[in-house]
Amino acid sequence: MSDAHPSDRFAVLVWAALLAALLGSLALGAFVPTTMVVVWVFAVAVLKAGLVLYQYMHLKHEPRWVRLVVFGSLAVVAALLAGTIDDIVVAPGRL
Amino acid sequence: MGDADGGHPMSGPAPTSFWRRYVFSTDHKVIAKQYLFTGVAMAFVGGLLAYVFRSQLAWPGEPVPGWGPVGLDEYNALVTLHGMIMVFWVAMPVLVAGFGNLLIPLMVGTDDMAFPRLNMLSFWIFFLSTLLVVASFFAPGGPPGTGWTLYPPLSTSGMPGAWGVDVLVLAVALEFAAFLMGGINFLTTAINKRARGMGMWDLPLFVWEEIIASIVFMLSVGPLIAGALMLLADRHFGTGFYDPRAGGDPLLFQHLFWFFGHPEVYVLLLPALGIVAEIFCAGARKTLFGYRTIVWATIVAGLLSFIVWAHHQFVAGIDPRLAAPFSLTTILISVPFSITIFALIATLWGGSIRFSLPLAWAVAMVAEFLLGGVTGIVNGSAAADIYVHDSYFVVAHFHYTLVPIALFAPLAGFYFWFPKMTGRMLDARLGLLHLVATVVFFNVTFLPQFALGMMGMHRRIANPAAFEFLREGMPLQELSTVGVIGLLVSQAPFVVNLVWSWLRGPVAGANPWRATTLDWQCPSPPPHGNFEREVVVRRGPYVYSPPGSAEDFVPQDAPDAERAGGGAVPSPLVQPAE
Amino acid sequence: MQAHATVARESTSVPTGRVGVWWFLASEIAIFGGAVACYVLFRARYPDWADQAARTLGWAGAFNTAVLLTSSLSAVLAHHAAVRGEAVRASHMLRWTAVGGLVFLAVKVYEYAHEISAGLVPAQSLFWSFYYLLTGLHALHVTAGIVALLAVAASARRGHALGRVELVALYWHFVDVVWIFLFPLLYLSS
Repeated sequence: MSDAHPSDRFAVLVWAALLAALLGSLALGAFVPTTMVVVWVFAVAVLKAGLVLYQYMHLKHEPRWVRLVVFGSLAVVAALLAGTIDDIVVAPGRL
Repeated sequence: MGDADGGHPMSGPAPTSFWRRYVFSTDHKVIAKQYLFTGVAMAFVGGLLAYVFRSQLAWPGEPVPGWGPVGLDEYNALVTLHGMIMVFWVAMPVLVAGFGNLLIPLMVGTDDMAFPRLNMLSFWIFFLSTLLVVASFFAPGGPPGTGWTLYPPLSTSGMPGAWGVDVLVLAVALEFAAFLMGGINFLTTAINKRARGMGMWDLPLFVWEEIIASIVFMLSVGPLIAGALMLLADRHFGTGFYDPRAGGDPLLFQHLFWFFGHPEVYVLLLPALGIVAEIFCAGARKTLFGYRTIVWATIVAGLLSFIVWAHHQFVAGIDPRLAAPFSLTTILISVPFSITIFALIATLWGGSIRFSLPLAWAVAMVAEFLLGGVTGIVNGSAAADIYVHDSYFVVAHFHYTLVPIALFAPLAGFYFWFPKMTGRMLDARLGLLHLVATVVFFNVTFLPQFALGMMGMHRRIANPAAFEFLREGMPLQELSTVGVIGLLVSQAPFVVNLVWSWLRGPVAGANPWRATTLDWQCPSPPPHGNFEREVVVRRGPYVYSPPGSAEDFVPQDAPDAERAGGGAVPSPLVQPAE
Repeated sequence: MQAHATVARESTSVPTGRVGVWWFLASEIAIFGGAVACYVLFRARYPDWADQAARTLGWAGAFNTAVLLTSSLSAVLAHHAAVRGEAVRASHMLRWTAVGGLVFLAVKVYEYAHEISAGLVPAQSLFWSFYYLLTGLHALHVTAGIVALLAVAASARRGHALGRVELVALYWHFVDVVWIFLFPLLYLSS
């Protein structure tokens, strides 16, 4: 395993990056009053989740099939969204 | 859940106390039997419910012998619990949990599941859910009469004080939890506890089918678990997730339900096809036709199963623009299954067939299932479905799929692996009587229902005689009910056979069917820890009738030197270990 | 009859416990994913839910995000310690992680109390139904996580089953990731 000698210092750096990202997205929400802010805030959320998944959960060291398990289950949720969005959001209450 | 996080020996000494051996056992073979026999017992409960409501349909208003008159709410509860029990307390425990527990560790050549204590916990949670589903019938405020689909508003504001609905939802939730644990165990075992030398492409097809079924179950059930929480909140906390007056939407529940409900059909079908494949290979003395093709087709079917669900909702008021894409995917998914069925038939083609009892059951399964599959095309296309939707045509269709899946395939498996479970053979003449009677009465029950459906018989009608246009169908109703009674009575030879053979049947030996997979290379019944030596896999799962060999089969773990003639076995399936 | 006891071996490069946890997390992704998907659909259907989202305590949510991120750090440090065989340090770090979870729950209880006293109960409107559903489901996972953390910490302290430190840490990180998405989804008002 490549994480045989895990570095505590690197973990702290990742934590600092996570908190910085949190502060950044809060600042965005406070000072940028446009709808574009939603996109940015969620981009930061994806970045944070990616850091936790890849660095803290060591997904970067796992074989490809483990990544497939994680992203495959997300894809299934995406399929649910894609199939229901029309009935619930776009054209609700047709009955 | 970290039973296996060290390098210590796995299954330890065999437990000696009665309770640890037979009741709170962590041995996968004991747990398999617990699942199988709970499922068989519940099958009789579900069958008796069917007898009661079918009697009401054939002779409306008359007291049902052994039960009494059937009230309308009672009728709804009978139908609801029949569906719930047959899918979640018969098909799931028998096909997925029972055969999966029995066969996965044996077929991958290991001593037990990856997490044996989790496995035991899984069964006991399932057992608790079994008690709850029976209790729901007697719950204060009335039994659940919602249909197995639990659609709101009937299941929310429609049955406000009926605790039966809550007990039923709780039972289903516990059942899901049990099978999630089981699924994690199956996947981890098949992925990480394979015998030395066994690559993924050396797994018997049954293990592949269980892997894919477990993944499909695990990923499709999540949204419905969230949906069930919302249902309970709507019933008790005044929320309106499914109530348009509060801004919610009842269609949401239908989407969540069928996002799970349709893949669930494949969760059941895949292990059934796996059982059939194992029996076909041993019966035809031939390698499985298109092993990799079947695996890939099944993976494709698993993926497609996540995008077909709305064909259950063509008349529910969904956007008509969704009908075309969902019709398309639904009809598309019959392609990978057709590939599998053709490959199974091609496995028999040109084989030197030993027409044993399990093989006869497996052939019956495929033949009857085809009728269910073909009528599915009618329901899958939106235009045709709108005419037959919610009619007995649909009822007949899904019974022609689910009865072969949940009755014929497990019984084929039972006749095939009973010697492995108990060390004794089942009686073939009683088994043949069982088969012939079951096939006849199954068709007597469900063929008339296609005609009744085309006549306009709606599946929620409790008294068809009350409708002028259904009166001419009454003889068919009676025929169908006679079929159910016959089907129930036909199971008697099986029960007799089971008890008698377990006590007195001829001793089977380790490998009575002369099969190649690892489950047949250990003693019958397998001891605690299964294999007497460490298993090393040297070839693919189905090496039958290799040219120049004295025996007509070569077990997966047989050393090459033991073979007459020696030399490597020519097989397209042999893969180097990962 | 006692069969030959096979020694645990793994067919892939991933330890068996971790394979189990990844599949468990996949099923959890489907559960949370389904609930979040339902919320996202209705949020898109009713743009005026922004007014309700503005009534959540944004500072509390932000503080709790920082708490969970920090507890994830102590969880990963516990894992590193376990890999190095430092049982006592691993146990300490897991307990700090559990403390983070308790702080999170305390803040969450404060928020619930604040909201309920303002009449924002689950039945108030569909937004609040979803708010309590999602945060409640998450809080249940936090609670279960605290129990698991303390149990593993206790056995790790005695040098038992150090491999489980990583497994419980994985689960805790997942709970953190869920909150990373719940926070902007529920608290962001624009």
